[in-house]
Amino acid sequence: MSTDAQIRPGNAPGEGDHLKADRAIRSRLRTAAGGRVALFLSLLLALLVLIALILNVVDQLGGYVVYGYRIDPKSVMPAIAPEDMSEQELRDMILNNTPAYRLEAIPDDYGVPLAEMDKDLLVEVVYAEIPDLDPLMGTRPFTELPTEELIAVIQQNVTTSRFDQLNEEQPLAQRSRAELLDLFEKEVLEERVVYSWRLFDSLLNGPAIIETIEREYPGQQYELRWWLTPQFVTSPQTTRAETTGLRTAILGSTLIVVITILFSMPIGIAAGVYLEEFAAPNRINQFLQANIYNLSGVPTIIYGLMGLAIFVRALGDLTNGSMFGAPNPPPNGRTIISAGLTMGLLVMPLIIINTQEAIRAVPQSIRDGALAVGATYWQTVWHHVLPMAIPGILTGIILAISRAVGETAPLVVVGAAAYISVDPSGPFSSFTGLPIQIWAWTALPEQTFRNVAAAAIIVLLAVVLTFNLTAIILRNRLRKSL
Amino acid sequence: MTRINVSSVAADASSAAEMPVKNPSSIKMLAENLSVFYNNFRALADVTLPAHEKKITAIIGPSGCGKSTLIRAFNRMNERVKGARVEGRILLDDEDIYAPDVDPVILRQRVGMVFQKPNPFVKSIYENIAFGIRLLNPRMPKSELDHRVEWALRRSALWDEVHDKLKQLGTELSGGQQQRLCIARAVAVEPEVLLMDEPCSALDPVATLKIEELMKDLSRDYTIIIVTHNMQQAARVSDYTAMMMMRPDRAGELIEFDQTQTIFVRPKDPRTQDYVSGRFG
Repeated sequence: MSTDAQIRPGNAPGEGDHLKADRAIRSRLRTAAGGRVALFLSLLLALLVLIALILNVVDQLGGYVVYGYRIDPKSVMPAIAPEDMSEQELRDMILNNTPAYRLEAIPDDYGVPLAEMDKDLLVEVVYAEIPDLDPLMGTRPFTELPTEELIAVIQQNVTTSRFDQLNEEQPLAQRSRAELLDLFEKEVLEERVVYSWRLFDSLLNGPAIIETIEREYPGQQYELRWWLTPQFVTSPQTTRAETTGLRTAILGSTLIVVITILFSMPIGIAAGVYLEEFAAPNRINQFLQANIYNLSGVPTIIYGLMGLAIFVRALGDLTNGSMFGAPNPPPNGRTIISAGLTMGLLVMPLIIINTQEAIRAVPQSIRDGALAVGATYWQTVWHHVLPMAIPGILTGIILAISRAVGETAPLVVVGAAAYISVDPSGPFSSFTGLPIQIWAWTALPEQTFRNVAAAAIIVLLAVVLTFNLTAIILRNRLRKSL
Repeated sequence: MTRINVSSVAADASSAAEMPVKNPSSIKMLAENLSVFYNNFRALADVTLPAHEKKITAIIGPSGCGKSTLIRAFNRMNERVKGARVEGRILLDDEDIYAPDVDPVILRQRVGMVFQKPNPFVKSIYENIAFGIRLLNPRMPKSELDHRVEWALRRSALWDEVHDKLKQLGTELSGGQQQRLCIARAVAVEPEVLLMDEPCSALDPVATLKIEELMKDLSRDYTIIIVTHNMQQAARVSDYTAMMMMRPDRAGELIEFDQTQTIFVRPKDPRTQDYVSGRFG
C-alpha cells in the first residue's frame, strides 16, 4: 500500500485516504453518469418514435363505422307470394297498404274483423284489397331468408366470375349462415361505410360516439369493425375497401421472393466464398470488393431502373414467357420473374457480404487442421469452413428475404400492377406485392382504404418480423450445435 | 528431383555449424541453410537442423526467436502466410520439399502437424479421424474405416475414453482429450514425421503428462519435432534439442544443437547455459 501511495500523482491525498474520492475522480464519475443518462435518453427517444409510428398504424385498424347499403334490400329480395306469408305478415301488409276507409269497411264486407280472420281469408283480402301488389311482395327482411334462397340471391346478383371466385375460396354451400349474411351484405347490397371513427377514439369514447351516430345518422346501421380479419388476409383483391383482400398481394410477394432467392442465393454464396477464400489480394479483386460494398448502398430505385431496362425491355420476350410458349403472355416483361430477378440483383451484395463475414468468422485453426492432414484447400473449404459458416450465411439470406419482401421502389419501376384480382399463376404473370398494395391504397381518397392499408401494413410488418425472428432463432440454434 | 548424399550433407552441415550429428544415416528430415522471409522481413537466418529418424527433436528458445516459423517450414504450412518466402532447403529423406514439383498436399500427408491450441474439427469424434483417412482413400469400405479410426484412437491413448461416444462432437471433449484427438487425427493418415508446435501450452499439468507419455510412445514409430517453451518438457521427452535465439536484426538463428543431455548438462554456448538454467528468457 505504501508503495502505491508513493507513486500517486502530486494532488493525491495523503496516507490512509486512498479510497476516498478526490475532486478529479468526482468529475470523472459525473461525466460517466451524465454519459449514461444521455445514452439512455437516445434509446428512449428512438423507442418513442417507433411506438408512435406503430400506434398511428394501429389507430386505423378498427373503430366504429356507420354503414349503409347502396342497393335497396327490397329490390333484390325474391318475391314472396301472399300464400307463403304468415298470418301476421298478411295482416301487416293489409294494414300498411289499404286506405283507412277500406279498413273500416273490411269487417263488414267479410263478416269477421281482421284480427280474427284465418289465413285463407287473409290471402283473399290481400288479393282483393291491394291493387298494386307486385312491388310489395318480398318485403321480408333478408336476415330471415332460408340459406338456400340466400345463396340463390347472391348468385343472381353478382357477376359470374365473382361468384366463381367466391366459390373457389370456399363453396358457398359449406359456409355458415353468418358468413353468408355477411357476404350478402357486402357483395349484393354493396355495403358502404358512410363514416368511420379511429380505433382509440372508439375504444375510449364508445358511448359518446354511439350517441353521435344515433343523432346524426338516424336509422343507419353501425358496428365496431376490425379491418384486419382472417378473411381480409385470405380473400383476393377487389375494387372496394369493404371486400378487398390481401391474397393476391401475398402470393405475388411470395413468388417474387422465391425467384429472388433461387437467383441470388447460389450466385451470392459462391461469389462470397470465392472472394473470401480463393481470390488473390490483387488490385482487381480489391476493386471488386470495394464495388460490392458500394452496390449494397446504391438507392434501390436505381436497381428498379436497371431491371426495367434489362429484364422488362431488353429481355421482354424471355421474361413474359412467350419464348417458353406460355399461353397468353403479357405484352411486355412486367412480370413476376422480372421483379424477382431485379430484387435478386438488389440483395446479392448483401448475401455476398454476409457470406464473407460468416466465412471470416471461422477460425484459421480449423483451416490449418484440415490442411495439416493433407486436404487440398478446396476440401478444407468444402468440408470444414462452409459447414461452420452456414449459420451466418443463412442469417444473411433471411435478412435479404425480409429486405426483398419490404422493398417497394424497384417494383414500382419494374411495373407492378396496383390492381389485379386474379392470383398470379406463375413466373410469367403480372403481379402486385404487399408494399405495392399498401402504396396504392394509401394513395386513394377514401378513409376506408386507409383502414385497409393499415391492416396491410400490420401484415407486412408481421411477415418481416417473422423472417427476422427466424433468422435470429436459426442462428442461435445452429451456433449452439457447433 | 535433386538427389543428394545425405551423409555428406549432414557432415557438411555439422561442420558448417560445428554441430555433432551422431548417426548421419538416421536423418529423416534436414533443414539446410534455411532462411524464411515474410515479405522483406527475415524471420529465420541460415538454420541447419537435422531431425533423426524415430527420435524426438525439441526446439527451444525465447519468444519471437522463430521456433514456430521453423517448425511450420517443415511441412510448408508457412506458405499460408501471404508474402512468405523460403531460401535454402529442407530434405525429407533425400528429397527437397521445396522443389517446384513437390505438392504441399502430399507433403503434409507425410509430415503431419499438431498445433498449439487444440483445433478439432466441429464434427463428431469419428469424423475428425475419418476425414484424413477418406482423403487418401475416398472409397474405403465402412468396416475398414471403422478399424482405422479405432487404431488411430488407440494409438493416441484416447480409445478407452471415447469409444462409447464416437458420435459426440470433438469440440465437446476436455482440452487434453481434444489435443490427443488432434494427435490421433494426424496419426490416422500414417505420416512419417509429426510436427508439434507447443502442443501442451494450453493444457494443465495432468493432461500435459499424458501427452508427453504419448509422445514418447509415438517416437517408436514416428520422427517427432516439437517446439516447446517448457524446458523441463524438452528435457523429459526429447532426444535432441535445438536452441534458438533472436539476432539483433530480429531474425531467428540456431545457436546450438546437440543431444538433449548435452544441451542441458554441458552446453557449449554460454547463452544456452543461461537459458536452460533459467537465468533469462
